[in-house]
Amino acid sequence: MKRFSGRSIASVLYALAIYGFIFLPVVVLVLFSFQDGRFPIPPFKGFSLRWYEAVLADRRLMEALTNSLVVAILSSAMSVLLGFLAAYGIARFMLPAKGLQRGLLTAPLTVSYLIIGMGLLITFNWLGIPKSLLAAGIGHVVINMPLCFAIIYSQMGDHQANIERAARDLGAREWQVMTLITAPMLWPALFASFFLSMTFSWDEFIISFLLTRFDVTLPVEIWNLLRSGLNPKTNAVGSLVFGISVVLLLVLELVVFRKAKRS
Amino acid sequence: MTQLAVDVRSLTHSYGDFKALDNVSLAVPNGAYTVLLGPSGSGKTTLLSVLGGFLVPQQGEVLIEGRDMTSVVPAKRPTTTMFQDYALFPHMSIADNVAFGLRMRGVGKKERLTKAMEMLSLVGLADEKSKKPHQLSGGQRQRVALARALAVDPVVLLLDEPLGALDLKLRRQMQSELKAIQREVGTTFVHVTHDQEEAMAIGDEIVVMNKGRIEDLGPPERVYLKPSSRFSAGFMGQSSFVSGTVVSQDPQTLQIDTVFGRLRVPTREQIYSAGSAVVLSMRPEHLVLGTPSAINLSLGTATIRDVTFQGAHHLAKLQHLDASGLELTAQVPQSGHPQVGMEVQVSIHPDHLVILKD
Repeated sequence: MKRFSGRSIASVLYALAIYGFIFLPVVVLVLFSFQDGRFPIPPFKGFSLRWYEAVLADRRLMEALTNSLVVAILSSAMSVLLGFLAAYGIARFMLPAKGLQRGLLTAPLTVSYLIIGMGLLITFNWLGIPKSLLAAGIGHVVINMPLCFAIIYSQMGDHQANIERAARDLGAREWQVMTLITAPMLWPALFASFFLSMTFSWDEFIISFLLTRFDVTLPVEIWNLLRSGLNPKTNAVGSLVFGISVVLLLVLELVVFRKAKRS
Repeated sequence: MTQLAVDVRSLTHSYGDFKALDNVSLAVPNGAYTVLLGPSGSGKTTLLSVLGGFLVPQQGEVLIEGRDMTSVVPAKRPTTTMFQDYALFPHMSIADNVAFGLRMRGVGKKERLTKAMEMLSLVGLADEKSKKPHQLSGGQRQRVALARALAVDPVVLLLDEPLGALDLKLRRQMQSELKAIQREVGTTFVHVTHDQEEAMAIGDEIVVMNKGRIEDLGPPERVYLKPSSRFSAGFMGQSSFVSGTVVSQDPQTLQIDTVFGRLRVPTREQIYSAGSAVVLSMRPEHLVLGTPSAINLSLGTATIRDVTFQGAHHLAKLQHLDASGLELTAQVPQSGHPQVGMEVQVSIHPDHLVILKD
């Protein structure tokens, strides 16, 4: 006969509590996005897709979703490019105050998005750059570039440096070394940092809120919706945002980490 | 006139207080297989980096086929390097790896792949052309690295401890392959190693380096049998050293006072003044145990203190009876059955005695 000790029951309960704490809000959000009624609160009155139809029919929301995707893709591409160039420069060349430069590049990781957003707002104001998606995109590059730099830099070892040296020895010029040797060798790191940047940009709120005005990103539009109170439509759009984040993470896991493990 | 493939003059390079190269000059003839031999920190790898263009020396100049290359970048030099860790491009097929140098020189795809296949056949890997580097064994990667470096027809191929990562058996096999390939392509090879057996097996010329200087330079036999410095004698195989003082030298005989008494040996090219200090170097295989023949120089009597069996022979450590603290290492034939504690007479043929300045 199998006996459950008090300790094992307690640890199961503890695990359930942890996972419940983490996932219950998401489960509730997703569940009530299917609510067949006007309020996203218990009791659950039945299953309906009408709030998703409402979201897809909402032109402002759909525009915001497109804006968010465009900002996420472009700002992530820019972050990866700049992060890669910075990592290559710092890892491969003798530079003055290298440690300080590396520190300065990663320092924004520790600064809150609110401070970065305010700083950019003041700077753009002073420079006469209007609030726009471009401004928000630049903000996302500011927060994501340090991350991309850190990920890519950590993957640039001495072994790769030797391989680059071999390429130079065989006649490759610097840009050929970077495009034909370094970038392909580092592609797991490049993809990982790209998709991570995408997920961060995709649901970033405060910087986008401060730096956009007429065209806004999806989190800002959702916030606008929330101001008029909760309804299952906000749950539906929230579920969509969550779903796309999950897809990005799955792609990251399947494409990058699996491959990285295999090779 | 045979042109020099490499001609370096008065190279000096320091890392901080450490002098990696100290006024090194070296000429390598075209088509030769030269081995730079020395312990770590001797400057051999630094010299190779200077030849390859990875390091610009603080002083001195580098000429390759007569052209000044001192500060020319690696890409623009007629040299290629075969790296110790092979440094193959992990994301490219074997054929693309080998063709890379030609691609950088703007050679068309068809032509460069033809040449790559030629090189791969040379190293016996034509069947592996579509594999990726990680699918090959260490020895195969080694060969790909060789094919890749040779595919651009360099004037000089630089090999940086190329066999260091291989196990002993594979290393010996690759040594003969490297030498055979070098003969076939006729390219000048400059090979760095700290393994003196490898150096002797493979080199046409051996350059013995120590503390940033060239200690000795010549064909393996000469460097082994007539080393020109104490370091060289000790690094190229084993030697027993005994110090002595020159008494006199005339056209026939050189007389030296040692702990063995006064030795009379045939005179050498080198002129020694009376009273100058010298070191006598003796290879284990040159020391003869047992009653000395008429022609041999007697070195007195010694006790066998320790014997190790080396397969082809025994190696006996001898303690000299008259000179306390003097230890000799002698080779004893396989069938010699030396016993620890035995007392033996030691002698050497006068021609085998190497006399070095102290």
